[in-house]
Amino acid sequence: MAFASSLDQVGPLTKDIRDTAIVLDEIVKQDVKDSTSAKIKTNYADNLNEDIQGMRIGVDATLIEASDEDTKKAVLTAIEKLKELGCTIIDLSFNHNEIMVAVYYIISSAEASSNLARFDGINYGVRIEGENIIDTYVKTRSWGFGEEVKRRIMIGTFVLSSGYYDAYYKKALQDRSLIKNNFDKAFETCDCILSPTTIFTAYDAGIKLEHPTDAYLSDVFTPAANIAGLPAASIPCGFAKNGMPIGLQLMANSYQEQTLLNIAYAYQQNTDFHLQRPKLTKGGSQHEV
Amino acid sequence: MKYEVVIGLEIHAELSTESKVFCGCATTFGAEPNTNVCPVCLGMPGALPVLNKKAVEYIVRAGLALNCEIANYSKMDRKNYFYPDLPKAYQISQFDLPFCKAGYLDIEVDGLMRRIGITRIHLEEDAGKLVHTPGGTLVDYNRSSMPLIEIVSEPDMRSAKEAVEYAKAIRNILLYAKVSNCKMQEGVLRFDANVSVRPKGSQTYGTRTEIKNLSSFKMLQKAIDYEYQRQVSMVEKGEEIHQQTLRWNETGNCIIALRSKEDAHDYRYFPDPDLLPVILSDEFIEDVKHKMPQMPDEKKKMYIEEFQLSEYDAQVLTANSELCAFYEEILQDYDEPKTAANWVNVELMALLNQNDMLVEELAFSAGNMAQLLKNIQSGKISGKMGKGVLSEMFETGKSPEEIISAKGLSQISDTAELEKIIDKVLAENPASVADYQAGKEKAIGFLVGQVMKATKGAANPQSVNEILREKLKK
Repeated sequence: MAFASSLDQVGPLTKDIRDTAIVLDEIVKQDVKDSTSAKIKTNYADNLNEDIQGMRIGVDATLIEASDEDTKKAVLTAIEKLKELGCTIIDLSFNHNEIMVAVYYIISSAEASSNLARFDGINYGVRIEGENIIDTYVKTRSWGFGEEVKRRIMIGTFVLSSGYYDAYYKKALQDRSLIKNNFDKAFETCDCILSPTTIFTAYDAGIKLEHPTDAYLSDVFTPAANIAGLPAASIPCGFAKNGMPIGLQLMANSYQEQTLLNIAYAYQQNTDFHLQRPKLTKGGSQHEV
Repeated sequence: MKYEVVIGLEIHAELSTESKVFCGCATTFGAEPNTNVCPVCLGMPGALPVLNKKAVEYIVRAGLALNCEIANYSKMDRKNYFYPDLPKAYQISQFDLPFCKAGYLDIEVDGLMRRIGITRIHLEEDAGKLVHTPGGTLVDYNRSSMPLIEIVSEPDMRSAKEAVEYAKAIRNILLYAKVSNCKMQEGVLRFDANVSVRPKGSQTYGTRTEIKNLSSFKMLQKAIDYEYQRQVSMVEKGEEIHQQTLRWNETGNCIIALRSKEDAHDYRYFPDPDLLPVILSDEFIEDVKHKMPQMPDEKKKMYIEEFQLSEYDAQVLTANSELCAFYEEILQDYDEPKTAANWVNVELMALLNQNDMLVEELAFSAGNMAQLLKNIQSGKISGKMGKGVLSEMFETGKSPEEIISAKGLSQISDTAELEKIIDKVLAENPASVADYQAGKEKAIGFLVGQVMKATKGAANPQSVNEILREKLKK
């Protein structure tokens, strides 16, 4: 089921872009029992084209500047590669970068708090009997959900509550429109927008953060696609000194999946990062070819 | 009287679509518990709602019938609260952008026309039904996700009677618009009444209370009367009225407090991200308008102009959509609208009123009634016999043909046979004959009566009269 219905999207995790295109051709098909699915005809896989001469790639330099050194280096190298393939780089400067994470967490938590409300012990899932109906709800939900889920439910309930709705949820919806408008405008001059996928490489497994919400802040580049309803892809573009993989994020305008796939496809035809595997070692990873 | 009551009503009506509002489940009433259900109306994880187009058409039709503005852009919202009859723990409803708003309905109360404002009409899904048993509470989700419209009035009513008349008029309109069957006993129509009192002449409103879930006109009347008295006595004692949600207790004939303003739910409304905003084109709205069934005002005009009914008869027939439908069904087999109107409004109404029954509870069909009227029209039975047949139809549900032949009823239209009987009566009553011939006009009435008695009422009184006079002249 959906975590946050207006943001969630099914996305394939594949070995290369051709596989992505093949899977995508299936999952874009209309589901008449899902009111939010569109009726479009596609043949992404057969139309993959590595000729991306003249494609205009938008880049907001502040997003690259905000990233760690290894990420920055890998992404700048990728930009050079795309230039070699005939793309032009267009400078972009978004005024929404700072609010992106807040908008994402407010909207997603609000929706999640409501989506997860059905797990109340009545007719689905686990039930822990209480002394009365309210007690049953409280016991069931306190026991059944994990820490992070409960945190999100509480954030979501808070931002939708009367007295806070206008300051949080309503504001987030307004900002969502603003972000969407910014992208609409950007796509008047670009075919695709490029950024790192993450600000730094992945945490080591099992690491405990001092503040549980710190991780939210590292997630600044990926929510844009969900908030604005745009297709995006993350493809390998290098490895950090510790061996961790670095992702390159590409985003295209609504229904322009073919453009997005073609650019990613051309990049993979001319690089081999997607063929390499990170070499995982204790206390830091190494990669091998 | 020093105080005046101010009433606003929220009327919930279940739409008569064949399937539920967000899934394909049937809407049939009285099915085995939890048989008209699917993953969507059970709120199973992953199941998504799809809006029923027919339900949108119906609410637009209701909105047009109630003189509302129809929104070109509206959306569905989630109303979040926990209750066992609500499987998703939120109800899909409409918050700030309902399909219909700013309408009105004119009603007549004690001979005065009153215009009641309609704030809005929105679409929502119904909840399931709790069934309390000694072994615990069970939930029947057959009603879950049934399409409902909520018609919210302005606080424009000033007496319980006005509120009841308004509610009845809404019911009538919904029936004419064919959007709901409005069956009160099946809970298809339910009322919430917002009640406050204020000194007569005051322009500000008093603090209101809301009485929830009233399921009959009688309950509506009683609950408002009770609440009015309660509030007036509080005001007179100088007590403060608190904003509260109340419930009418039918067995105890009293009101029970459900919750105060402080524990009012915070429903955390927000747009349902599973559904897209609904954009209604002007063409769609025009099309609904075009396909709209005939409404009572139009019918009334037609009855007066084309059927030549009196204003009164037209009014009585159109004030009740079931009666009206019954009348029109009679006319499918019977071609004298004036006579039919007379029989429906006088004879049939009398029987219904005496027995405190509704036209839809009749044991016989409109076709039977047409058949009866045709028997009178052809002269087979007299109008007087017809009344007897009608009351037997009313009691037994038998067809008029059955009753007529079982009782051997038939008007003696054979003059030769009638003359024989008349001759016999004349021979047996020489005194009356003499009286009449001596100028006592009244004597003929007695003789007619004797003939009718001899024929067990099967003679046509008018023919009897004519033949008698003819014979007595000689």
